[in-house]
Amino acid sequence: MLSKSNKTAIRDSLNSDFPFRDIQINMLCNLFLTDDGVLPPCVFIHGLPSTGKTSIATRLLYLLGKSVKSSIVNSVCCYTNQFLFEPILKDLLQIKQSELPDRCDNFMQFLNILKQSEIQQERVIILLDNCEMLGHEQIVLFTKLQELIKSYQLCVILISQVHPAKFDEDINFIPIVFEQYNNDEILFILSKDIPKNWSLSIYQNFLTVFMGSFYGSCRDLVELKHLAKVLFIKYVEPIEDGSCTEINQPLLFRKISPTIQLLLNNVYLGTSLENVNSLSDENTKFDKLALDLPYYAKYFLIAAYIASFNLPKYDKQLFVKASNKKKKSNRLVNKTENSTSQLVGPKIFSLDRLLAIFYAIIEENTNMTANLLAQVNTLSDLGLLIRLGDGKLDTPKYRCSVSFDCVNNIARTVKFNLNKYLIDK
Amino acid sequence: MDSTVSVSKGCFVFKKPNKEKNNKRRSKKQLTTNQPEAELWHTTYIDVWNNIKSKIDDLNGSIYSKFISDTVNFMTKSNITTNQSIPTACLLTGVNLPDHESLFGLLATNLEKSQPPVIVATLFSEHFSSVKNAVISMVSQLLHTDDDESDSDEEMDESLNFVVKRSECTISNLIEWYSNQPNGTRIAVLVKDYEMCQQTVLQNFILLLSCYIKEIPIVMAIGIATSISNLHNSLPHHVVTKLKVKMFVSEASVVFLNNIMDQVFLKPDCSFYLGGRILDYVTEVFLYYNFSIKQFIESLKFCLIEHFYRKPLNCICVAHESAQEALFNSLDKKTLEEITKLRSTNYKLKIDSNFKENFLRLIRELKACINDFYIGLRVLHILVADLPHSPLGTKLREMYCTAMKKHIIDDTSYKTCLQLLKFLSKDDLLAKFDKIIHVLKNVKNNQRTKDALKLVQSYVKSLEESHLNNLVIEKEKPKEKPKESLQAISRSQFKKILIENVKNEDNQPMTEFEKARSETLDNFTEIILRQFLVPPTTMPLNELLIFDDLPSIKRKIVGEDRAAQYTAFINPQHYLCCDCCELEFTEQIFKTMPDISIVYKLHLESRFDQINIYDWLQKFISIVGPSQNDNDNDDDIDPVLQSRFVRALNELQHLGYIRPSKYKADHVQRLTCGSC
Repeated sequence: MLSKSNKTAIRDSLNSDFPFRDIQINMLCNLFLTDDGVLPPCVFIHGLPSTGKTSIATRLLYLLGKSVKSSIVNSVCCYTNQFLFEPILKDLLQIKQSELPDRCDNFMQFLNILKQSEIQQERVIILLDNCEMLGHEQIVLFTKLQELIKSYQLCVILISQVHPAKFDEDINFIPIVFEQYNNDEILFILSKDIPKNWSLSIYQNFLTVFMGSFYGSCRDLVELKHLAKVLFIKYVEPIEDGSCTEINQPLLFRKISPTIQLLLNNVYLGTSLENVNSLSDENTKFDKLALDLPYYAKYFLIAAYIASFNLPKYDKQLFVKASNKKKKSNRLVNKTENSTSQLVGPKIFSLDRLLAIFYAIIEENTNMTANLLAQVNTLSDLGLLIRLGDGKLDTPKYRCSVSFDCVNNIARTVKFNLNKYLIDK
Repeated sequence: MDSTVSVSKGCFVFKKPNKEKNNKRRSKKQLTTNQPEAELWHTTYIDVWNNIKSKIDDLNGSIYSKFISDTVNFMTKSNITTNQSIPTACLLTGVNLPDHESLFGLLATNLEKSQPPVIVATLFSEHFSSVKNAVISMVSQLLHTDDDESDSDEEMDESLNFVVKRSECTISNLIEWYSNQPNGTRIAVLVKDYEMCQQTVLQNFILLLSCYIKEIPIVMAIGIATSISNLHNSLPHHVVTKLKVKMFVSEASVVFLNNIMDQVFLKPDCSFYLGGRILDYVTEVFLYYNFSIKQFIESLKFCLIEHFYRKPLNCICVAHESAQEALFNSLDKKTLEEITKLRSTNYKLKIDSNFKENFLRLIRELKACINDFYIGLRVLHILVADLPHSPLGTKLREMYCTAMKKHIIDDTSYKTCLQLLKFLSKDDLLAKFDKIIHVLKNVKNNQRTKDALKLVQSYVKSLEESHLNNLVIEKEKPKEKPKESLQAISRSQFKKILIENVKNEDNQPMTEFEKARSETLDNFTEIILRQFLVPPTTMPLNELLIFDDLPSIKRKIVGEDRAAQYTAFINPQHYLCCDCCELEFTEQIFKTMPDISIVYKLHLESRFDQINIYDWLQKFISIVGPSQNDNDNDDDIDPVLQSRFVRALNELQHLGYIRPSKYKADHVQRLTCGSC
């Protein structure tokens, strides 16, 4: 058992390391730093990403140290039952993989081994991070583990970004909610890792500018930290080369705002932002990378788009040359930004219809060769078409999954007027 | 009704691959020894192909080299320790999926050679059926590379020498194995086809790897065929934050095509000459259908086989001159007669005492002509490639195709080129001539080139001497214009005269340079280009060296399945080569035809898309059944005939021509339209 002074030490250390998490730390400490050693059966920690869930829980377990037996498992790694149970057993029984009695790949074996090792006498905490990756019944069983083992000193902590109500109303747990940090809290936390050689006032000025532009689009602390680091180097450039003083904030802001604009478009993209300059290079590269497809594949994609966003009943109007309704249809075609068909989304079409439209819009006369048909498959492999149906040979069905802008760009490269062929009703 | 329930039910035996690889190798060797190696065409083909192949490989390596070295640099140098993110190289490689395999192979070998050591596992989309599968295939690939090394290193732990069981391929084993590796070793995971992977599995796999990045330094490379936005669209934020993405863009595959044509095929040292039509066709397949270099090379390879297969004459032409005579003597009389029948010889070549000498002389002339042709082509390319609107195309291969078919100088587009050239500035023109001189100087042992070189040099000299501003004083003044004609008789005549006057006045006196320029260009065209660019296809015996037999290979390079089916049904004799069903007109039906063919032809006769099966059966029996058609036994149908009919029907259904109708039970729906 821990002494009273120890407990306050743990509490204080947590509070100093993790600001603005008083309520959550309080709750955790009340639950786990008890005098009688009785632990709750299941605690469910949930909250949005980077709010300190895993860090606080693991730090708590670390601080509890030898007084409890603990096992921390990231459920992402448990792609089979075996990889879920065996690491837990290894941690709790403090043995190596080779010393496990035998394979443990179902819950019954897991329970038996735990029971045999007389784990009931000790305080045990099992922490399952990202528990939404586990199977439903596994979560239910873990919440009832205390019951099944018959030990009051066993607790399972589940951590997830998913709200517990999404799982099942059937499970019993003590919820602990980690709220997102608000603007001021993030400012405070960010100001903690101030770069060397710079005064706090400059950095805080920078952070107010930074948060003002980024807080609206991103509240992920990890991402913000990274962005701040990249941006600060750019921010202080004018100060370093002497063209601007520290006090002249409006000028500094004017100088940094184009870079902020650039970065705002790249939040959450995971592109390696080692410095801002590399980013602008990459942006120019993006422009060059229009989708480059073989000639017929382009026409197939256009045909697929037409098939997806037009009803089959208009096909005759559009593609049969003798049809005298054509003039009428031309008047109807007024593509607006958000036409109804765009909002409804692509509709399913069959391969036959795709081929028919393809041959109607293509100018040259081409034979239907194996290569040509392979193009359709290539497109669906590339994710530009979505293949539907159960893989039957006779009636494959597709759906176009490319945006209007993309197809329109492709159509322009082959000098095809796509708007003329879209009927919106 | 399920359409796959058809006659084509069957079971397939998949034999377990033989574990002992040696066995396989041996059997392969036996197979190859059975090949007719001794045959002339085969050895020639192998020689030529190996030559081409090695050049292509070199070229590929050199084109990819920057892309690969950049990627390898990133994957070996990038900082791993930053917060759980995996350094990931996104390789934007274009849509030609079949070629990616070779690219990733190249990347893998380059990574393995690099310092610090990198151990590579390549994962394909089929590995991403589940996270378990992905991990197993990754770990087993990684551990097995170690096996190969430990073969030489006998002091290694014995347990590692065993082939690792699938159940043992776990991350924890990997970590254990990694601790035995030299310091600084990295593990590279290459994901070849990102678009085809199951996204959820890939996401979990990335999350899984990022959990272990502290224990094992992992780098990734993901091949993306479409665009980088695809990555951002399909990976959620919590996965993307685990990656540190850097993009690498490879050259477009069209660049490869141009390079392969310029550097390998359109060079005089390549002993395989393509005709204009063939080249046109294969490049069209490339540009219009698939962007696949691999298929492009394979189809050229096929052309090569077709060119040499059982054609000793073609082989002799390629052979070295010293061997030609001996080989020629070994020919039999029939082949010799074939030579005289070739269209290009114009029936002038006769079998007589000088036949051999004549033949060899013609071949030599032809080769010289081709050589000159290539030189002329390069000169022409320099001259016209960067003209506005590029009337002759910008690529060497495009000019090659045109020039092969007919004399390019007589082409109208060359005339436009010439006009455009006459607007060039002095510096531009001299720069072009400089390049031309450079090309001509590089050619050795060619009298004609030497002469041309001298001529060009003299042109350059005259151009350099000409002044830009000095006007040429034209000695002969334009004829005195009859002034009185202005008082014309009619209005139209007056107009005509005015226009003519304007025209004459428009003829501004040329400067010295302008005069020199137009003279030079005209001379250059007429004297040099005309003699160099004689299309080799007009020379005698060109069929033996230049492969231009498009009809024979067209269907073989690009299959046309529906057309083939149609011919098989309509005219089974085309494939069966029997003498019983010779057609006089396409609608004809014979009793001797295969059942499915008869059924197909009968179904074409139906005018509606719903076909009554019973009527169809009656028609079928009337053709196939016994000839005496008595009315009394109309009802009972011979079960043998009926089963034959149903079987044929099922086959048609399986091939997708008909399907059961939704409206009437005894009807089927026709799925094709028209009369074919």
